[in-house]
Amino acid sequence: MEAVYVDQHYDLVVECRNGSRKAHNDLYKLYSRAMFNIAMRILNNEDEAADVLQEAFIDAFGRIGDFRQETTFGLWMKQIVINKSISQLRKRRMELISIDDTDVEAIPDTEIPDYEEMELQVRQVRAAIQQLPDGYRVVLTLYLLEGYDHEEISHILRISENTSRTQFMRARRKLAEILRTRGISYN
Amino acid sequence: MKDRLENFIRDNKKEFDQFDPPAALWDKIEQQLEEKRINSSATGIKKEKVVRLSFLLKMAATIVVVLGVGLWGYQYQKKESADLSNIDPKLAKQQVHYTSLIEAKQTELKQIEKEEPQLYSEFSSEIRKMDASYQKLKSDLPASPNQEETVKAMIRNLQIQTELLNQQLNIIQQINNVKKEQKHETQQI
Repeated sequence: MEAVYVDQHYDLVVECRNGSRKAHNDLYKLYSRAMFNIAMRILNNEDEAADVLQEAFIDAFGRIGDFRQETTFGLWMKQIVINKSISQLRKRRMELISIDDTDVEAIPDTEIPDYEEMELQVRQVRAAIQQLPDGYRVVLTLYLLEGYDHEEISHILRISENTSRTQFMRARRKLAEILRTRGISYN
Repeated sequence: MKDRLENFIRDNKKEFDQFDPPAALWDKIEQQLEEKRINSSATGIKKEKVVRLSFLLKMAATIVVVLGVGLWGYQYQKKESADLSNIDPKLAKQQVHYTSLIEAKQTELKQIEKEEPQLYSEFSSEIRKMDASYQKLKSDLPASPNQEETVKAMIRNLQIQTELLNQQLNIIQQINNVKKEQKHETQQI
Protein backbone atom coordinates (compact mmCIF):
# COMPACT_ATOMS: atom_id res chain seq x y z
CA MET A 1 0.00 0.00 0.00
CA GLU A 2 1.42 3.30 -1.02
CA ALA A 3 0.21 6.42 0.60
CA VAL A 4 -0.84 9.08 -1.83
CA TYR A 5 -0.20 12.53 -0.57
CA VAL A 6 -2.07 15.36 -2.08
CA ASP A 7 0.36 18.17 -2.07
CA GLN A 8 -1.47 21.35 -2.70
CA HIS A 9 1.74 23.19 -3.33
CA TYR A 10 3.36 20.83 -5.75
CA ASP A 11 3.12 23.37 -8.55
CA LEU A 12 5.24 25.70 -6.49
CA VAL A 13 7.80 22.98 -6.00
CA VAL A 14 8.01 22.48 -9.76
CA GLU A 15 8.47 26.21 -10.29
CA CYS A 16 11.20 26.22 -7.65
CA ARG A 17 13.06 23.55 -9.57
CA ASN A 18 13.01 25.86 -12.54
CA GLY A 19 14.65 28.47 -10.37
CA SER A 20 11.71 30.81 -9.88
CA ARG A 21 12.57 33.19 -7.06
CA LYS A 22 8.90 34.01 -6.61
CA ALA A 23 8.03 30.37 -6.04
CA HIS A 24 10.80 30.19 -3.44
CA ASN A 25 9.30 33.15 -1.69
CA ASP A 26 5.78 31.73 -1.86
CA LEU A 27 6.88 28.47 -0.26
CA TYR A 28 8.76 30.42 2.37
CA LYS A 29 5.70 32.48 3.18
CA LEU A 30 3.55 29.36 3.42
CA TYR A 31 5.84 27.34 5.64
CA SER A 32 8.24 29.62 7.48
CA ARG A 33 6.02 30.26 10.48
CA ALA A 34 5.18 26.63 11.18
CA MET A 35 8.81 25.62 10.61
CA PHE A 36 10.11 28.38 12.82
CA ASN A 37 7.87 27.22 15.65
CA ILE A 38 9.05 23.65 15.26
CA ALA A 39 12.64 24.83 15.57
CA MET A 40 11.70 27.05 18.50
CA ARG A 41 10.11 24.22 20.41
CA ILE A 42 13.20 22.11 20.03
CA LEU A 43 15.78 24.81 20.56
CA ASN A 44 13.97 27.26 22.81
CA ASN A 45 16.15 30.01 21.44
CA GLU A 46 15.08 32.53 18.82
CA ASP A 47 18.49 33.23 17.29
CA GLU A 48 19.32 29.59 16.89
CA ALA A 49 15.87 28.84 15.53
CA ALA A 50 16.24 31.63 12.96
CA ASP A 51 19.62 30.26 11.86
CA VAL A 52 18.20 26.78 11.56
CA LEU A 53 15.26 28.08 9.55
CA GLN A 54 17.52 29.92 7.14
CA GLU A 55 19.81 26.93 6.70
CA ALA A 56 16.86 24.59 6.28
CA PHE A 57 15.28 26.66 3.52
CA ILE A 58 18.58 27.10 1.68
CA ASP A 59 19.18 23.39 1.98
CA ALA A 60 15.66 22.48 0.85
CA PHE A 61 15.78 24.82 -2.16
CA GLY A 62 19.21 23.50 -3.07
CA ARG A 63 18.04 19.90 -2.93
CA ILE A 64 14.58 20.46 -4.34
CA GLY A 65 15.58 18.42 -7.37
CA ASP A 66 15.76 15.38 -5.08
CA PHE A 67 12.30 15.99 -3.69
CA ARG A 68 9.88 13.39 -4.97
CA GLN A 69 6.17 13.32 -4.59
CA GLU A 70 6.40 10.53 -2.03
CA THR A 71 5.64 13.08 0.62
CA THR A 72 4.41 16.65 0.82
CA PHE A 73 6.74 19.58 0.73
CA GLY A 74 5.61 20.45 4.26
CA LEU A 75 6.53 17.06 5.70
CA TRP A 76 9.82 17.03 3.84
CA MET A 77 10.66 20.49 5.07
CA LYS A 78 9.66 19.54 8.59
CA GLN A 79 12.12 16.66 8.56
CA ILE A 80 14.91 18.95 7.46
CA VAL A 81 14.04 21.50 10.16
CA ILE A 82 13.84 18.88 12.89
CA ASN A 83 17.12 17.27 11.88
CA LYS A 84 18.91 20.59 11.78
CA SER A 85 17.40 21.65 15.09
CA ILE A 86 18.43 18.43 16.77
CA SER A 87 21.99 18.71 15.54
CA GLN A 88 22.09 22.31 16.69
CA LEU A 89 20.86 21.17 20.07
CA ARG A 90 23.56 18.51 20.15
CA LYS A 91 26.13 21.20 19.52
CA ARG A 92 24.96 22.74 22.78
CA ARG A 93 25.87 19.41 24.28
CA MET A 94 22.41 18.58 25.39
CA GLU A 95 22.52 15.27 27.09
CA LEU A 96 19.60 13.25 26.01
CA ILE A 97 19.36 11.44 29.26
CA SER A 98 20.42 7.89 28.76
CA ILE A 99 18.13 5.99 31.05
CA ASP A 100 17.56 2.99 28.85
CA ASP A 101 17.61 0.75 31.84
CA THR A 102 14.70 2.49 33.46
CA ASP A 103 11.60 0.44 33.04
CA VAL A 104 8.56 2.31 31.85
CA GLU A 105 6.43 0.28 34.23
CA ALA A 106 8.51 1.51 37.14
CA ILE A 107 7.16 4.99 36.75
CA PRO A 108 3.95 4.99 38.72
CA ASP A 109 1.04 6.38 36.81
CA THR A 110 -1.00 7.12 39.90
CA GLU A 111 1.11 10.08 40.87
CA ILE A 112 0.31 12.00 37.79
CA PRO A 113 -3.31 12.90 37.25
CA ASP A 114 -3.43 15.75 39.67
CA TYR A 115 -3.96 18.17 36.87
CA GLU A 116 -7.21 16.54 35.91
CA GLU A 117 -8.82 19.51 37.45
CA MET A 118 -6.58 22.14 36.10
CA GLU A 119 -7.90 24.90 34.05
CA LEU A 120 -5.62 24.55 31.10
CA GLN A 121 -4.78 27.50 28.98
CA VAL A 122 -2.63 27.48 25.92
CA ARG A 123 -0.53 30.39 27.04
CA GLN A 124 0.34 28.80 30.35
CA VAL A 125 0.99 25.36 28.94
CA ARG A 126 3.21 26.92 26.29
CA ALA A 127 5.20 28.74 28.93
CA ALA A 128 5.49 25.58 31.00
CA ILE A 129 6.77 23.59 28.01
CA GLN A 130 9.46 26.20 27.53
CA GLN A 131 10.55 25.64 31.10
CA LEU A 132 11.18 21.96 30.56
CA PRO A 133 14.78 20.75 30.29
CA ASP A 134 15.94 20.22 26.69
CA GLY A 135 15.62 16.45 26.65
CA TYR A 136 12.11 16.46 28.06
CA ARG A 137 10.92 19.32 25.90
CA VAL A 138 12.15 17.75 22.66
CA VAL A 139 10.53 14.38 23.24
CA LEU A 140 7.30 15.88 24.48
CA THR A 141 6.89 18.27 21.57
CA LEU A 142 7.93 15.72 18.96
CA TYR A 143 5.34 13.34 20.36
CA LEU A 144 2.43 15.63 21.11
CA LEU A 145 2.84 18.50 18.69
CA GLU A 146 4.74 17.12 15.71
CA GLY A 147 2.81 13.87 15.88
CA TYR A 148 5.71 11.41 15.76
CA ASP A 149 5.41 8.08 17.51
CA HIS A 150 8.07 6.70 19.82
CA GLU A 151 9.61 4.58 17.11
CA GLU A 152 10.10 7.62 14.90
CA ILE A 153 11.42 9.66 17.80
CA SER A 154 13.92 6.95 18.61
CA HIS A 155 15.28 7.27 15.06
CA ILE A 156 15.35 11.05 15.10
CA LEU A 157 17.13 11.30 18.44
CA ARG A 158 19.11 8.10 18.10
CA ILE A 159 17.83 6.74 21.40
CA SER A 160 15.91 3.58 22.15
CA GLU A 161 12.16 3.45 21.92
CA ASN A 162 12.02 2.67 25.60
CA THR A 163 14.02 5.77 26.42
CA SER A 164 11.67 7.82 24.31
CA ARG A 165 8.68 6.47 26.20
CA THR A 166 10.27 6.97 29.60
CA GLN A 167 11.44 10.40 28.66
CA PHE A 168 7.99 11.35 27.50
CA MET A 169 6.35 10.18 30.70
CA ARG A 170 8.79 12.07 32.82
CA ALA A 171 8.33 15.14 30.67
CA ARG A 172 4.58 14.93 31.05
CA ARG A 173 4.86 14.61 34.80
CA LYS A 174 7.31 17.46 35.01
CA LEU A 175 5.00 19.61 32.90
CA ALA A 176 2.11 18.95 35.24
CA GLU A 177 4.32 19.83 38.18
CA ILE A 178 5.31 23.13 36.66
CA LEU A 179 1.70 23.94 35.95
CA ARG A 180 0.72 23.03 39.47
CA THR A 181 3.35 25.22 41.08
CA ARG A 182 2.01 28.04 39.02
CA GLY A 183 -1.31 27.51 40.66
CA ILE A 184 -3.04 26.44 37.55
CA SER A 185 -5.64 24.28 39.02
CA TYR A 186 -9.31 24.47 38.96
CA ASN A 187 -10.84 25.25 42.33
CA MET B 1 -3.27 6.64 28.92
CA LYS B 2 -4.58 9.68 27.13
CA ASP B 3 -5.14 12.29 29.72
CA ARG B 4 -6.48 15.76 29.69
CA LEU B 5 -3.17 17.52 29.40
CA GLU B 6 -2.14 15.47 26.40
CA ASN B 7 -5.45 15.90 24.71
CA PHE B 8 -5.48 19.56 25.45
CA ILE B 9 -2.10 20.04 23.79
CA ARG B 10 -3.05 17.94 20.79
CA ASP B 11 -6.33 19.76 20.35
CA ASN B 12 -4.68 23.15 20.45
CA LYS B 13 -1.69 22.31 18.26
CA LYS B 14 -2.17 25.31 16.05
CA GLU B 15 -2.15 27.71 18.93
CA PHE B 16 1.21 26.43 20.04
CA ASP B 17 2.71 28.14 17.02
CA GLN B 18 3.23 31.34 18.89
CA PHE B 19 6.41 32.71 17.36
CA ASP B 20 6.99 34.60 14.18
CA PRO B 21 10.24 34.21 12.31
CA PRO B 22 12.39 37.35 12.12
CA ALA B 23 11.10 39.67 9.41
CA ALA B 24 14.49 40.06 7.72
CA LEU B 25 15.09 36.35 7.37
CA TRP B 26 13.75 36.03 3.84
CA ASP B 27 16.14 38.72 2.64
CA LYS B 28 19.05 36.73 4.04
CA ILE B 29 17.81 33.56 2.40
CA GLU B 30 17.30 35.31 -0.93
CA GLN B 31 20.78 36.79 -0.74
CA GLN B 32 22.27 33.39 -0.05
CA LEU B 33 20.32 31.81 -2.89
CA GLU B 34 21.59 34.54 -5.19
CA GLU B 35 25.20 33.96 -4.11
CA LYS B 36 24.81 30.26 -4.62
CA ARG B 37 23.49 30.80 -8.12
CA ILE B 38 26.37 33.09 -9.04
CA ASN B 39 28.90 30.70 -7.55
CA SER B 40 27.51 27.69 -9.29
CA SER B 41 27.50 29.39 -12.67
CA ALA B 42 31.00 30.70 -12.01
CA THR B 43 32.37 27.27 -11.16
CA GLY B 44 30.65 25.98 -14.28
CA ILE B 45 32.62 28.41 -16.44
CA LYS B 46 35.84 27.77 -14.58
CA LYS B 47 35.52 24.04 -14.98
CA GLU B 48 35.00 24.38 -18.69
CA LYS B 49 38.07 26.58 -18.96
CA VAL B 50 40.16 24.12 -16.99
CA VAL B 51 39.00 21.28 -19.16
CA ARG B 52 39.84 23.15 -22.34
CA LEU B 53 43.21 24.23 -21.04
CA SER B 54 44.15 20.75 -19.92
CA PHE B 55 43.01 19.39 -23.27
CA LEU B 56 45.26 21.84 -25.08
CA LEU B 57 48.13 21.02 -22.75
CA LYS B 58 47.67 17.34 -23.40
CA MET B 59 47.67 17.91 -27.12
CA ALA B 60 50.82 20.01 -26.88
CA ALA B 61 52.53 17.46 -24.66
CA THR B 62 51.63 14.64 -27.04
CA ILE B 63 53.03 16.54 -30.01
CA VAL B 64 56.24 17.30 -28.14
CA VAL B 65 56.65 13.67 -27.12
CA VAL B 66 55.94 12.35 -30.60
CA LEU B 67 58.35 14.83 -32.17
CA GLY B 68 60.99 14.08 -29.55
CA VAL B 69 60.77 10.34 -29.98
CA GLY B 70 60.78 10.68 -33.76
CA LEU B 71 63.79 12.95 -33.76
CA TRP B 72 65.68 10.80 -31.29
CA GLY B 73 64.86 7.64 -33.21
CA TYR B 74 65.99 9.25 -36.43
CA GLN B 75 69.27 10.42 -34.98
CA TYR B 76 69.82 7.13 -33.20
CA GLN B 77 69.35 5.24 -36.41
CA LYS B 78 71.72 7.53 -38.23
CA LYS B 79 74.38 7.24 -35.56
CA GLU B 80 74.00 3.51 -35.17
CA SER B 81 74.43 2.95 -38.87
CA ALA B 82 77.47 5.17 -38.84
CA ASP B 83 78.77 3.33 -35.81
CA LEU B 84 78.95 -0.33 -36.26
CA SER B 85 77.50 -1.85 -39.36
CA ASN B 86 79.66 0.42 -41.46
CA ILE B 87 82.72 -0.68 -39.63
CA ASP B 88 81.99 -4.37 -39.41
CA PRO B 89 78.58 -5.92 -40.13
CA LYS B 90 79.53 -9.10 -38.29
CA LEU B 91 80.44 -7.23 -35.14
CA ALA B 92 77.26 -5.18 -35.46
CA LYS B 93 75.24 -8.40 -35.43
CA GLN B 94 77.10 -9.58 -32.35
CA GLN B 95 76.43 -6.28 -30.68
CA VAL B 96 72.68 -6.60 -31.31
CA HIS B 97 72.74 -10.17 -30.05
CA TYR B 98 74.45 -9.31 -26.78
CA THR B 99 72.38 -6.24 -26.10
CA SER B 100 69.17 -8.22 -26.41
CA LEU B 101 70.62 -10.97 -24.19
CA ILE B 102 71.61 -8.40 -21.59
CA GLU B 103 68.21 -6.82 -21.73
CA ALA B 104 66.46 -10.15 -21.16
CA LYS B 105 68.71 -11.05 -18.26
CA GLN B 106 68.27 -7.66 -16.69
CA THR B 107 64.51 -8.07 -16.72
CA GLU B 108 64.96 -11.46 -15.13
CA LEU B 109 67.18 -9.93 -12.50
CA LYS B 110 64.67 -7.21 -11.82
CA GLN B 111 62.28 -9.79 -10.42
CA ILE B 112 64.32 -10.05 -7.24
CA GLU B 113 64.13 -6.33 -6.66
CA LYS B 114 61.26 -6.76 -4.23
CA GLU B 115 62.53 -9.79 -2.37
CA GLU B 116 66.19 -8.86 -2.13
CA PRO B 117 66.46 -5.12 -2.57
CA GLN B 118 70.02 -4.92 -1.23
CA LEU B 119 71.32 -7.69 -3.42
CA TYR B 120 69.58 -6.22 -6.41
CA SER B 121 71.12 -2.80 -5.89
CA GLU B 122 74.59 -4.31 -5.59
CA PHE B 123 74.16 -6.38 -8.73
CA SER B 124 72.73 -3.58 -10.75
CA SER B 125 75.46 -1.18 -9.67
CA GLU B 126 78.08 -3.59 -11.06
CA ILE B 127 76.23 -3.77 -14.33
CA ARG B 128 75.91 -0.01 -14.35
CA LYS B 129 79.69 0.37 -14.04
CA MET B 130 80.20 -1.92 -16.99
CA ASP B 131 77.55 -0.10 -18.96
CA ALA B 132 79.20 3.23 -18.20
CA SER B 133 82.49 2.10 -19.74
CA TYR B 134 80.57 0.68 -22.69
CA GLN B 135 78.89 4.04 -23.24
CA LYS B 136 82.28 5.73 -23.06
CA LEU B 137 83.72 3.46 -25.71
CA LYS B 138 80.68 4.08 -27.82
CA SER B 139 80.97 7.83 -27.62
CA ASP B 140 84.71 7.64 -28.36
CA LEU B 141 84.11 5.46 -31.39
CA PRO B 142 83.58 8.12 -34.08
CA ALA B 143 86.87 9.78 -33.15
CA SER B 144 88.78 6.60 -32.49
CA PRO B 145 91.93 6.04 -34.56
CA ASN B 146 91.34 2.33 -34.59
CA GLN B 147 87.60 1.87 -34.82
CA GLU B 148 87.70 -1.88 -35.20
CA GLU B 149 89.58 -2.26 -31.94
CA THR B 150 87.11 -0.03 -30.18
CA VAL B 151 84.19 -2.04 -31.49
CA LYS B 152 85.86 -5.23 -30.35
CA ALA B 153 86.32 -3.72 -26.92
CA MET B 154 82.65 -2.82 -26.92
CA ILE B 155 81.68 -6.37 -27.78
CA ARG B 156 83.98 -7.69 -25.06
CA ASN B 157 82.33 -5.39 -22.64
CA LEU B 158 78.94 -6.73 -23.64
CA GLN B 159 80.20 -10.30 -23.26
CA ILE B 160 81.43 -9.54 -19.78
CA GLN B 161 78.10 -7.93 -18.91
CA THR B 162 76.31 -11.06 -20.09
CA GLU B 163 78.62 -13.27 -18.09
CA LEU B 164 78.21 -11.10 -15.01
CA LEU B 165 74.47 -11.27 -15.32
CA ASN B 166 74.66 -15.03 -15.68
CA GLN B 167 76.65 -15.32 -12.49
CA GLN B 168 74.28 -13.01 -10.65
CA LEU B 169 71.33 -15.07 -11.79
CA ASN B 170 73.12 -18.20 -10.61
CA ILE B 171 73.62 -16.73 -7.19
CA ILE B 172 69.95 -15.87 -6.99
CA GLN B 173 69.07 -19.39 -8.05
CA GLN B 174 71.19 -20.78 -5.25
CA ILE B 175 69.64 -18.46 -2.70
CA ASN B 176 66.21 -19.55 -3.82
CA ASN B 177 67.19 -23.20 -3.49
CA VAL B 178 68.42 -22.67 0.03
CA LYS B 179 65.20 -20.90 0.90
CA LYS B 180 63.13 -23.73 -0.50
CA GLU B 181 65.06 -26.30 1.47
CA GLN B 182 64.62 -24.35 4.64
CA LYS B 183 60.92 -24.17 3.97
CA HIS B 184 60.77 -27.90 3.45
CA GLU B 185 62.67 -28.47 6.63
CA THR B 186 60.42 -26.29 8.68
CA GLN B 187 57.43 -27.98 7.14
CA GLN B 188 58.82 -31.36 8.00
CA ILE B 189 59.47 -30.32 11.57
